[in-house]
Amino acid sequence: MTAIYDNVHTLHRLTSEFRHRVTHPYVQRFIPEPVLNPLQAGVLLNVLEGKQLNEDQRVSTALAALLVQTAMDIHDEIGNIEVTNEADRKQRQLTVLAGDYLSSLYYTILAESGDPDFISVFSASVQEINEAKMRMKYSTSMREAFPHYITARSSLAVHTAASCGQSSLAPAIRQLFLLQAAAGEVTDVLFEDVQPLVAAQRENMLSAAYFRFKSEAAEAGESVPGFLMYEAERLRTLVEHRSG
Amino acid sequence: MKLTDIYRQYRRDIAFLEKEIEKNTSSEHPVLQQASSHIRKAGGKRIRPVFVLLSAGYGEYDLDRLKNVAVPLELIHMASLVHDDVIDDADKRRGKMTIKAKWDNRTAMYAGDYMFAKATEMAAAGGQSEVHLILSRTMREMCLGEIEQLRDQFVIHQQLRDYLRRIKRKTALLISASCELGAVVSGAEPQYIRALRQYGYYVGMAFQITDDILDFVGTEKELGKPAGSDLVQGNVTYPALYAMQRDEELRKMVTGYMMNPDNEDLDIEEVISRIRSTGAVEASKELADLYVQKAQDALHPLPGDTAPLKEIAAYIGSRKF
Repeated sequence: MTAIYDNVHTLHRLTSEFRHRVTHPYVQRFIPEPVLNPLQAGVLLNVLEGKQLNEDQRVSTALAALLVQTAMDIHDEIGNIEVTNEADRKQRQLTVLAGDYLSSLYYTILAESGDPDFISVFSASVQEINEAKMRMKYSTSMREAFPHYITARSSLAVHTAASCGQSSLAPAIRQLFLLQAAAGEVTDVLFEDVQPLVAAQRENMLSAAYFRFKSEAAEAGESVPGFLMYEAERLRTLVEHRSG
Repeated sequence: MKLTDIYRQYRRDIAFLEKEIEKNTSSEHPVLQQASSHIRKAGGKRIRPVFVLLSAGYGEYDLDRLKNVAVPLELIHMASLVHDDVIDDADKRRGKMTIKAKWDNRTAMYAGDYMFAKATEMAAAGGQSEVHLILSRTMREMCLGEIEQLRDQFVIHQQLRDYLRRIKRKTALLISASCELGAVVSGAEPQYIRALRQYGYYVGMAFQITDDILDFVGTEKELGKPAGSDLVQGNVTYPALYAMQRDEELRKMVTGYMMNPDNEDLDIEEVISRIRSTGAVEASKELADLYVQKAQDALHPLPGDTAPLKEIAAYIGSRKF
């Protein structure tokens, strides 16, 4: 995965900090080290520029959002298949705890940042994401599931943008995350419970995200950061390459 | 003062907090709503909110402010139980079906994460930075404690200090935070806050040791889960540690199982009988009593009548279930 952000130094700091925080030697013996979603990182850093924050605050706020997203993503991995041996059991147990641990880190970072405003913002978003996941889980078609999928993926960035006075970016951000799914850059374990799984239908809906993004970006006007436009083009290329 | 008197004295406030818990576990999604309601109705003594209320007596008692820590503490506790049931693959808790059994694992994960978010949102409503620091650090330590417990699962060579460190993080810190937060929110003097935090820590240690004793002396009906479950799941608690140091045959039985839990069976009835016959239950009780005493001693800097806090500590160290 590649993503650009104008301030490469800040993105690098954020990436290093994320890696440093998520690594736990014992946990990583059983589950893979979580990886940061660079699109989400870039979007967060961009929208946070809309608020009067110094670089440290921007990095810690984006880091907190990335950690809680990762925590919830890890919990998506918990399946319902019965485990029958100790190794599988241990993996499942640590998957639960790794997610919980990252959630506690997210909260600690915001608490220590001295700017707890984002605790309310992210708490509301985490609630929305889990409700969206439940709606997805009980959806009976892909058409019904998609809006909830977009919410689950984009909610943190959308809420952050809104809290930074950039609500107009929300529709474009939502489509960008859908486009990322279309490009296959994120795993979509969330679709597991949705029946029936019609791959072609899903591909069509995902691919339409680019055109929706363009339309939403045009609606938002000049306020759309170049980063979002670049990412949309990059992901479109990937989608086209993928569909061959 | 008896425990029932304490609950009676705070009956209205506890009922108010119960309503707040109900309000803060609501969701627009019907299954999430049902799942949250299910764990809430499973009951519990709401001991953490009670500690908040009691500790608030050493400052300015304002229930509207206290609810912003009392409810989050209970929600965090409830969320951790929901996730623990996935970790333990438990179908029953307090004799009732768990969320993972009634729905499934993923619903339990989402319900737990949802409750956690509700907790932090409510804590934020109070607007006190110190509350977030205490709560977040407590949660982080709790998670590290749980990871530590998994690391030590099926490890036979353990010392008392390993066990104490685990139960500190697993149980004692959240009770300690409950006492501390009640005092902080009510604006109590720093020395009172310190005393209450220390008191809560010792009470929490006694609470978990007592819980671990009950696992070997209770019946399935009383426990809401099979007796000896901890050991079957590879968790070596103090009664087992104590007994294995005194009964070589018991040590061999448990070691054989711990070395190969997938293929070896553990005769848990025999194991429980042997543990009891070594005096491990009595020794564990002494350890719990020691922590109860420490808790009561920690109250010395506090002014006025500390009888309710002493009574709760005594109850926790001697509770039957």
